[in-house]
Amino acid sequence: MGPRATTGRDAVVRAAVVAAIVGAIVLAVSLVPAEVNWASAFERRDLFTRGLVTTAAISAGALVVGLALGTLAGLARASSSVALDQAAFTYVELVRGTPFLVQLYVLYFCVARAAHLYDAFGDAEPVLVGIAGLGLFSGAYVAEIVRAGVESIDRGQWEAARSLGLSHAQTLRHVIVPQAAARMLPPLTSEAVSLVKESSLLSVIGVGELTFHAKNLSAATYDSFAAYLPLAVLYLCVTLPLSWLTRRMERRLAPVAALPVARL
Amino acid sequence: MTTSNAPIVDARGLVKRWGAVTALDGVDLVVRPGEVVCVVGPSGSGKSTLLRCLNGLEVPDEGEVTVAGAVVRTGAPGIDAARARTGMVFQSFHLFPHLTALENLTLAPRLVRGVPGDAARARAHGLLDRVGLADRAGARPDQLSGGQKQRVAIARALAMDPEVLLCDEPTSALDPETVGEVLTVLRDLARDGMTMVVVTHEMGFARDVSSRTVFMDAGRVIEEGRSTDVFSAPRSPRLRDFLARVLRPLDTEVPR
Ligand SMILES: Nc1ncnc2c1ncn2[C@@H]1O[C@H](COP(=O)(O)OP(=O)(O)OP(=O)(O)O)[C@@H](O)[C@H]1O
Ligand SMILES: [Mg+2]
Repeated sequence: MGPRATTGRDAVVRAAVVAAIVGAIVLAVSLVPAEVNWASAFERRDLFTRGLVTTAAISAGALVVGLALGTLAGLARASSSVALDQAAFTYVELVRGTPFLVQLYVLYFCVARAAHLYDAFGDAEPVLVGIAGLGLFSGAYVAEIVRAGVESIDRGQWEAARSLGLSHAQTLRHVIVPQAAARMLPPLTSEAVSLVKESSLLSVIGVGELTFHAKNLSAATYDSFAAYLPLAVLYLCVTLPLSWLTRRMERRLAPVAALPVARL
Repeated sequence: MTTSNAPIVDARGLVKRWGAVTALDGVDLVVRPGEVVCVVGPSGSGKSTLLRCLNGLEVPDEGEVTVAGAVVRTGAPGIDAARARTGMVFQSFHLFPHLTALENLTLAPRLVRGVPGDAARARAHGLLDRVGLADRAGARPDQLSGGQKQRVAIARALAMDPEVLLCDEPTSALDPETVGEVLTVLRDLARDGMTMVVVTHEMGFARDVSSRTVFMDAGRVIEEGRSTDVFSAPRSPRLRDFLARVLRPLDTEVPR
């Protein structure tokens, strides 16, 4: 999409379109033959609150793990060591080549069982496995963002630094990464959005996050609508502001064609 | 200054191929202390490749380069130290855009030589003064004109006290009105005894400032000698042809 000057009229058109889409959804829901029991869902609203807090906490934890792992793996891919590069590449390919749900099953039902993690962590086991799994998963995508960011920096910067006598590692740390960091911020933020959404899969291993509680609510009230529609809205409450932040940063920073969208 | 007359740069039998293209086809280059050598020649003749081999940015397929007695070999231990002894000035500056002019100058001395911050900054101020930019120490590269950027880049190379300064078409990316300020800085450096190898299309600079001119074509040194001789009495037909073209740019054919 090419750049487009925003006028006051555009803003009105955009607001009208959004209102029409939301209106259509509300209308569709109101046409549901069975009566939706909003009241029973509202009575159990603390389930949503607890779920949201857990989702936020787990996402934050996994983001920290993912950023740390991904930065290490991304820099390994850009390092002068063939062994480190290959190790990081293998990690990225293994993770990106399998569905997150499958990784979660393997981690929880195979690895954690075999390692008897329950004996060590008790009921905290699913949460810990969830954070580790989500972090491991996200780290592969962060690694690709870091690698692309490093590669987006002009070769001349490497040559200037190396010709002054800086080592490969010094060049990365003091010349390349400081410039790449700004370019990596928008894709990293959209990676955070993906991560929040993927945390919903942790419900399958019994982590008490948002989707888990909505499922229980649906089972208890026999009302899927009152459980899952608020669920979708709550996810949007988290992801829309983050997406908005991403677009704002993208507009402020020079666009980098080389950077991939976090997940395609 | 080095008192002995041992070569600062000694390149022997350099060969560099890119697939079918032979960029360097057996080039020797010896540069002695205080010499200013200009390398001229048509586009694609291998001038940049030669310069880049001298500090290991390019690895020759054959031949060997020594700088101040130490072999330059990419991948070998000590290559960083060897590179630090050769300053490099690029056509498009390659200043570090996230650092101020002053920080561009202090980064390498601090990281590579372990010079303390205060000492590095004091010296950097002196070097910026030398290139006429004492008042722009705090400026970021994007706040500088092309000529100013290139002068900062020269000062950055000098900050490492190189044995030799390698310049690859230092004025080719500049607006015509700022070429002069950069050439003046280079001329003054030459007068102060800096050893330099300058690839340039500025024939006036080559003729008047350099002690020796090397003419390259198709990866070979076709002719070299005292600059005054090379320009007043070129011996080879190819050099005569080249000079006829570059000294009368108005005759250059414009492709339609
Ligand atoms: N990285 C590379 N990959 C492939 N071919 C290259 C590379 N660098 C240089 N060459 C080729 O080697 C030859 C010599 O190039 P070089 O850049 O050294 O010429 P030059 O004399 O500096 O030319 P110019 O005046 O245009 O800068 C050219 O044919 C060029 O296309
Ligand atoms: Mg060149």
